[in-house]
Amino acid sequence: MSLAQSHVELEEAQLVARVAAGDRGDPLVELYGRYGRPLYGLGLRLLGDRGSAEELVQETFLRLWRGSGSFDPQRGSVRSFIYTIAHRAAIDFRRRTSSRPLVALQAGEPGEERWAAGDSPEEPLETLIVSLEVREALEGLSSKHREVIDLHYREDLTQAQIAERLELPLGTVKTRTYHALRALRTTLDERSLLG
Amino acid sequence: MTPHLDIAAYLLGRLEPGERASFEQHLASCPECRLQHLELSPVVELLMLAAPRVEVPQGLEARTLLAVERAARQEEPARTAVPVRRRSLLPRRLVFGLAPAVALAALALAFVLGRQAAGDESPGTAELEAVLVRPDGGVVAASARVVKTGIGRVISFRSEELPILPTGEYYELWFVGPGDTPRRPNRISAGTFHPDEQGRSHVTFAAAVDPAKYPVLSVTAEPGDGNPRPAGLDVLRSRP
Repeated sequence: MSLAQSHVELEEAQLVARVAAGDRGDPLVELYGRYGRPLYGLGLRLLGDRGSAEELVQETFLRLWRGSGSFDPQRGSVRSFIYTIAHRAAIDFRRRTSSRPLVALQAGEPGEERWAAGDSPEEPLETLIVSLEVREALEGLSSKHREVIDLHYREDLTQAQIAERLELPLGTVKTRTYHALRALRTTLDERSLLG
Repeated sequence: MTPHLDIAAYLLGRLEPGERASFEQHLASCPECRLQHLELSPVVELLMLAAPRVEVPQGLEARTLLAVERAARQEEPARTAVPVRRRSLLPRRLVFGLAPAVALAALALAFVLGRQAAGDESPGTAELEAVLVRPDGGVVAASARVVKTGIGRVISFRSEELPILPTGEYYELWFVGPGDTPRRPNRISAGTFHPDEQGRSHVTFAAAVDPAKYPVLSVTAEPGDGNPRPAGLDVLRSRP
C-alpha cells in the first residue's frame, strides 16, 4: 500500500476501530453503505446465486465484526481487509457445497445484466473487485450524471441521439457528460482506483 | 459553444468523424484540454470495466446487521446477558437510561427475524424498510417493513427482547414527520403493542400514513393514561 493513506482509508480505519470497540451501530451501517452492494455483486459472481450472495454479505460482516480487533491500518486498507475476508468466506462456502462449480451469472435473469466482455470465471479477484467498485462509483453519481454516462457507454448513442432521447439541448448533454466524468474521477480517486 | 466540453464525448468515442477531426485539431493546440485528456482517459478506461448493475435484495442491510447483533449476543455473554426482569420496579425512564448492559440486553434480534423478513416478500411494494436502533447507542434492535397494498398500507414490525413494561404501559409505533420534537410532535401512531414473555414482538398494523411524508419510524413506551399524545421518549428509532 502507499505510504500516504487516503482520506477515505483513514476514515474507514476509524470505522473499523469503532466496531472493534464494541459499537455495532453507525460504523457497521456506514461500512455496509460502502461495501454492501459490491460484496453482494462479488457473491453473485463467485457463488452464482442470490441466496449465496446474500449469505456471503452477512458472513463477511460477521467476520469483519469478529476480526475488527485484529485490523491493523499499518498493514493494509479496510478495503483489502474486507475483500480478503469475503474471498475467504466464498472459498469456505464453496468447500461446504463442494460440487458447486464456480459459475458466472446466467444471461437473462430478471433485474441483472450480463457481465461485460472479457467475462471469465478465472479472472483475477482484483480485476473483479475493481469492476464492482467502478460500478459502485457510478451508483454514487447523481441520477442525471449516471443517466448520461449509462447512455454513452451501454447504448451506442451519439451525443445528438442522447440529447434527443433525454429531450435536452445538445449543449446540456455535453456539459453533463463532462461533469459526470469529473465527478467519477473524484470518486475513483478517493477510492485509490486511479493508479 | 466552447470546444473544451467535447473532451468527454471524444474520450467516450461518441463524436461524429467530422467532429472528431476538428476536436483533435483543437486538442493539439489547447493545453487545458490536454490536461483534461490526461486526467479523464483513465476514468473512461475504468468505466469500460464497470460491472453490470445488480439489484440488491430488499432488507439485506437489516438482515446483515441483525446477523451481527445476534452473534454478538451469543458470543459476548458477559456484556449482554443481563436478564431483563419481567416486571421492573424501577420507573420506566430509568430502565431505558440505566446501565449499558441492561440496555444491550434489551436489544438484539433473532436471526429468525431476518429469515422471516426474507420470506416476507409479500405482494405489494415495500415503501419503507427500516432498521430501528436505540437513539443513543445505535445498536440494531428491530425492523419494520411498510408495504403498500391495494387497500392501504401494512406495517410489519418485529423485535426481540424489548423490556417488559410495567402493567398498564405499552409500546407504541409512530410514523414521524419532519420537525418533530417532544414539545411539538409531528407524528402519527401506527398502533400499540406488548411484547410476549420473552420480549419478542411480531405485529402487523394497517395504516393510512404515507411514509414519504412521515419517513422515520419510532417506538415509544407510553403510560397507560389514556392520553393519545406521545408521552414517552423514543426507545427505538429508524434512520431517516
